[in-house]
Amino acid sequence: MENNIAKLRKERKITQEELAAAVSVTRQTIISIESGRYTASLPLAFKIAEFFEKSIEDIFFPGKANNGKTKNREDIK
Amino acid sequence: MKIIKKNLIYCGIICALGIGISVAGVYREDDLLKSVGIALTIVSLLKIAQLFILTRNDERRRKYELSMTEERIKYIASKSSSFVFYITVFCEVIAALILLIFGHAFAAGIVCYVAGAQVVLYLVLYIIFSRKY
Repeated sequence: MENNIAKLRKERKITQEELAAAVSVTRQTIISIESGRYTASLPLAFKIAEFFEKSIEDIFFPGKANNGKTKNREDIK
Repeated sequence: MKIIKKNLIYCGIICALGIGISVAGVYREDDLLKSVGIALTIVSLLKIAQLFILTRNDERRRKYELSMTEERIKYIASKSSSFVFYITVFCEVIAALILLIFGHAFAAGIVCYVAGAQVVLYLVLYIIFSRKY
């Protein structure tokens, strides 16, 4: 599953460590989620969405892996 | 704090076991038992010391408890356990075959029963969990 967590995080100038602390996971988990190697569970996805004040669909979306680069929802449409 | 307490109890049990095994090794004059007992005791004591140090620092304690309970760690542990199960059963079958080839039919039979029991237990638990979830 693709996501744009890294993009949202950089826009708001938040570090991976800060995001990890906010959603009660380790920094390694955030790294794995951003790179697409690990898919967050629903409760964790909700926490991340709540943190960014967005809906889950705006952050997570199904997509083909593209050398680890994330895609925007508009690109998939 | 709950996780650290649980780990302390667990390490305490291992330490006690280690001491017991060392004493048994001394009593029976068995160097292997003594070594295993001493190793278990030392490792568990080191772990207990590490856990006590963690309790003094709130930030470190929080990170430690998080690393023990977060979902990705549980996912990795679950995947590892699953692989170990399959590899273990496979190795047990190979070991049973090797024992048979070398004429140890009784030992091969025991190993086969153990492997079979593991598979049956897995199937039973699979049925139980598939009904529960």
